[in-house]
Amino acid sequence: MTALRFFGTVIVAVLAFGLLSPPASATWKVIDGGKKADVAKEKMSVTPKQDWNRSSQRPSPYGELWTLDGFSLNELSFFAAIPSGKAIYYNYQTKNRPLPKFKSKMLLTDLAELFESTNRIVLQTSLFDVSSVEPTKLAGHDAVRFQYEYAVQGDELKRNGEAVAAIINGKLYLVNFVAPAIHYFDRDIVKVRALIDTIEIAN
Amino acid sequence: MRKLLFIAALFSVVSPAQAQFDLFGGDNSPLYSSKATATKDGFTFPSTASETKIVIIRPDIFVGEQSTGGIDRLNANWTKTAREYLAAETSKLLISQGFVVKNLQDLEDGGDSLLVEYRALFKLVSNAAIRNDLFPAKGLPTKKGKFNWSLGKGASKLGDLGDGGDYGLFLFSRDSYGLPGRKALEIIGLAKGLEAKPTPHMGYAGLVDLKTGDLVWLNVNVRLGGDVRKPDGAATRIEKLLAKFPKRSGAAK
Amino acid sequence: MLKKLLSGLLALSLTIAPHSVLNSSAKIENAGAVLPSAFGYEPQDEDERGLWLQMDEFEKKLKHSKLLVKDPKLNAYIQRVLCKTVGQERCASTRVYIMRTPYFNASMAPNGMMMVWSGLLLRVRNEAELASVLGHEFGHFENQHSLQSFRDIRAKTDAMAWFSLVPVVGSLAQFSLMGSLFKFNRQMEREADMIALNYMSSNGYDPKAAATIWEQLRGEMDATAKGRKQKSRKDMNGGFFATHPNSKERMEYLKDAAGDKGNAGFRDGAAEYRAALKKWWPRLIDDQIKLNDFGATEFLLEQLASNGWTSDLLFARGELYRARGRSNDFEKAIGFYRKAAAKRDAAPECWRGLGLALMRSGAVDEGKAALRKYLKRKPDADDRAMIGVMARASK
Repeated sequence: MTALRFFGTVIVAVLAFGLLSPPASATWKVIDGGKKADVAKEKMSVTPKQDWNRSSQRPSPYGELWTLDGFSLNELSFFAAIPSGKAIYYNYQTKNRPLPKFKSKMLLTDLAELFESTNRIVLQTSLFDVSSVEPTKLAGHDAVRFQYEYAVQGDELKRNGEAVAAIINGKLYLVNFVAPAIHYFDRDIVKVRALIDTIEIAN
Repeated sequence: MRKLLFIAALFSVVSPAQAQFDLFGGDNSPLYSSKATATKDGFTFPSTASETKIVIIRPDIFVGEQSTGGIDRLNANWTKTAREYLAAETSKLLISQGFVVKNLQDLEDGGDSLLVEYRALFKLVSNAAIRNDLFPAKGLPTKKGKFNWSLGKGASKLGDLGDGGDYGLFLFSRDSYGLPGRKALEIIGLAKGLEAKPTPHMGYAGLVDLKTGDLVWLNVNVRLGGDVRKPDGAATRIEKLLAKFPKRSGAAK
Repeated sequence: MLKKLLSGLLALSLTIAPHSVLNSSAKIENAGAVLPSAFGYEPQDEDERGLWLQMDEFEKKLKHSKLLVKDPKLNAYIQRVLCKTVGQERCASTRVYIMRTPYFNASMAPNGMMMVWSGLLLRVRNEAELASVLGHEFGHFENQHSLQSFRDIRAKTDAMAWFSLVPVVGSLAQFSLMGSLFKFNRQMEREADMIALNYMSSNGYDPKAAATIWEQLRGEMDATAKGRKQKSRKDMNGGFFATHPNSKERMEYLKDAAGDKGNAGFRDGAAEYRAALKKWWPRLIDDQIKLNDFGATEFLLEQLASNGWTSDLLFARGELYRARGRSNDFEKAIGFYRKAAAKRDAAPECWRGLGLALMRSGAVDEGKAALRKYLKRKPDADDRAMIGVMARASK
């Protein structure tokens, strides 16, 4: 903190990735490039071209996190089969800042709105803009792809992100990639898109 | 006690730079007394025949005093003079090795956001490198032993800011000197078998190739010598921080 | 032997420690002869110089923050209100930065850097309320509260460090020191509140506005709680470890103190405030809607609509109900969107919201027609590709 004095009581800010970044106790497992890997409790599988690192920390019971160079430089998250009535992430501040919940009747555009609202709350920022919401496929199912950018207080870097989401059998499937706008997002997004194309979803 | 200090710290001054050292964990971390260096595989400077220009990015410096209760207060005079001494000693050392040096001191108000952004990116990249490569105990398995980190080609814009620099040198140092009460506490505490966390004297330096944006060399030392408040101390500090700085080609490795 | 040495040292440390350590209800120092708000003020000693340099560095970075609201008109307006509140000469010593952060807060650094969060601008209803916040922050600056707080913390944590060597008794002493640290902080908050009140009344702003902010915030907390089916948190404030007096206490002492200021032609500048913020309402409201706080947002919308429901406000209400999406919410949202769309200055997004709400409520064809209207009105929309498919596809 700083020598700043606040007008009202402050709830200690969660920095970018604060909720998602694993504590020092997280362990890693290599995902081998070229091999099919199960993700998100075997509800999904994916065949990446290169090696990734998977964290033992989970962003929610339905998700898992991968990175190439560390979460502050690139973060790829997979969420599979989130049931209706559940939030995307673990709901850490249920009382003060509850997260919005997925509902199975949502439209594809609603998924982008759910994602935006969730991340604004988690990151405590209003500088979060979703752009280019477009139709796509996820494992052959109708899906939505959207790009976004955001910045958080106390950090001078803008971050770019892209996500693909779909509702399959009433459950939410989501893959999201985020990285600093300088260099890292552009360097990796093509690989990530190719990786998303290999996703298969178990019935 | 720790918890109380933590609550107290919410209202006190803690350097934003301190966050940089979160990666060393608490005082129980085995990293606490570590130092490490890495150079990108096969990296050498271009031959001595051509001019090689290093842009020294305004060093990120904190020099403070630590109270008995462990609260650091930045000392404005020490910090300002240390920044000057360290930049001057860095220039001196690099010039003595045959480099051309440009100090990119201060881009004040209205100055380019570019420098601010790249400094922030350097912080992320160097911390990731430190965590995963230099002290890889809990690092990413795919990055262990491979020193390949980059800020991207856009870093060449930093070279333009420095009138055509070939490399950018980033320096970070953090020092705190215990006030008499702090020292007394350390001594008494030791007599009781309690070890107070030593006052910090730590820093790192990183060299970026401004054509590719690649981090070509990084040195971290969390127990640095040299009193940065004095010119000869600053010289000692820079010698340690730039120890194992890559040699120019032709010179012995 | 060691024990003797220790207790000796302890006594020594307490004698040399500042007065505030020994006295659990620390006294706030009187500000020095030269106030930081004076023209050309320079920090006076090592502590102050250190804090200033640190915050100067912070401010350099802040100028490049992506969250900074750069709109020159809005910035000029907030600065003008500050200057009207504390006087032209004084206000020149501070810089105000508006941050796009959707919560109610403002902050002050010892070097004159003030930050105002956009969530505060959404909640404040007139210039006088804004003046009370700006005046409060200015009070912290002028009376060097950061510096005093820093010294208080340092002195007390020093003593706590010594106490940590003494079992049991030491812990109790530490606990009471912690408490006094927070108490000191609350005293400074109260002092800043009173400074603001004096500035307001001497420069024509209605001092009652300082209390109405808290009344409004308490109302909002009730609304949040109701929307979430929780107990209202308006009277919860950390007790012993509270950094600020609780909102009820603050509201009450401000109301009392404002009463003493009489009623001599004060103004609240509500119309000026609304005019200055007009351009920003839609964005600030949108930021609020995305916080998933239905009760508070509905409360704020009703407040903003006290002069009538504009198209923007009706649209926002539609968005709010559609986002919550409970059983009757879509029907209600449809009603709001329809009313919003019927107004002359309706934004194209009214048809987007209408279309999506209709589809969610089961009126698919009607929804698609509304989506097509949206795309016709906003052919370059960011979501044109997705909405285009949804407007076309047959179930």
